[in-house]
Amino acid sequence: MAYISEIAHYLPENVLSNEHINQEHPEWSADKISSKTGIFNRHISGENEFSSDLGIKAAQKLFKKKNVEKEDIDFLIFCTQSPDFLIPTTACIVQDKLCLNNNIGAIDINMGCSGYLYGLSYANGLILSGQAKNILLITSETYSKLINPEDKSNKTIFGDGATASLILEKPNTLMSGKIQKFSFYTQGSGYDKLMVKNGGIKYKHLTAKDEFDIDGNYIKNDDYLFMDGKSVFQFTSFKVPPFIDRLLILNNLDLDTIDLFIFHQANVFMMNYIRKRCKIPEDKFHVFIKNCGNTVSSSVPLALEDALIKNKIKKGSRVLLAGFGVGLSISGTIIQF
Amino acid sequence: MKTKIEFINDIKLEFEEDDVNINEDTLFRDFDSWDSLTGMAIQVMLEDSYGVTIPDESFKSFKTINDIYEFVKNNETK
Repeated sequence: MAYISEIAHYLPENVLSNEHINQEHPEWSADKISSKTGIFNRHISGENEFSSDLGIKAAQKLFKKKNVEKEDIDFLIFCTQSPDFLIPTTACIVQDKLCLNNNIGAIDINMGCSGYLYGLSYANGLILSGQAKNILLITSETYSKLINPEDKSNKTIFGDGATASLILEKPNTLMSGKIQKFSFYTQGSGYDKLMVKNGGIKYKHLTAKDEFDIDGNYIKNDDYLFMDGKSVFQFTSFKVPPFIDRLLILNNLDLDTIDLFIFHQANVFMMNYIRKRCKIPEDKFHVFIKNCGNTVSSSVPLALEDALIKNKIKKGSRVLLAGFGVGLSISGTIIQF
Repeated sequence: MKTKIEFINDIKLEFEEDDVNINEDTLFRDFDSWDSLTGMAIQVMLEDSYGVTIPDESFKSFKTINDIYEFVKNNETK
């Protein structure tokens, strides 16, 4: 079996508050932003601070917990959609800067809000197949660098951040959580619903212009992050509830045998909407978004770490984790503490 | 098709404030809690419960609850 043993995080120092957003976009009041999204602040990476830097800081905090020695790490998985470079793999840069062993594997995963669960499943597979014993799983995003200054919607929702998780073959703490079976769902026809169109190989040059509707509201700029909020909302509304049912069946469990649900922290409105559709009681649904916003692949591990710190997870607790978004994709698993 | 009162209640549930008072003539966009997210929630509910998909252009043209009701009544598949 494989176990989640420890989690640490790093959030950049710069903070973007609702008051700041209101100053730039007076049509949106700070109160309305917080009441709808549940977000008051997000952390924004510095001009010279990139995904590798955030991930390294999260990992350094993990190592400070003295749960594992650097030299014991035998595989590094780095999940990001905002890599420092197109080539090389960010994980290789991180291996060097963290002074991890050379005789280890280091790989990136390009996945967004469902990325942590993908990373966990890879780590789980590497351990179950005997290829690794002590895996460092990092999630790190600097989406803020992909958001157009005019794009108040995405600016309001997303925040930068990184997490580092230790996935082990053998439990080494009382609160190590045993990883159960995974489910996945992919709807690639929605690839363009959450997208940065330009800057890859197909559309290499960043020459797009801002597009506005007839009322002067910003719609998109293909050089930056675009989110068709309604399509993503519909996708999650219709696809997440049956996905949760399938995940429970796969693990031979009922909804009421789960002690805590930790979903991707998209925004409070959407989370509550999906929670109700999944028929999950409010007291079993963990929310951690107020001062970090939607941190993409870091949202689930940040919330999991918070739930552990607040003792919402106890020895014996069964926790269902699910991520959903970019792809469009959904992934989930259950952790037995 | 459910009665108009039931329909209005279904819509009311999508507004998060419990004390929201709505009837068929309510200009729902004037509510403090109204925004595009509430609109999305209403559209998902109508697709789920009434089998009606409302195109964005049509939805944007609706002003009162009755405007939504009339569209749903004429297009219902459930």
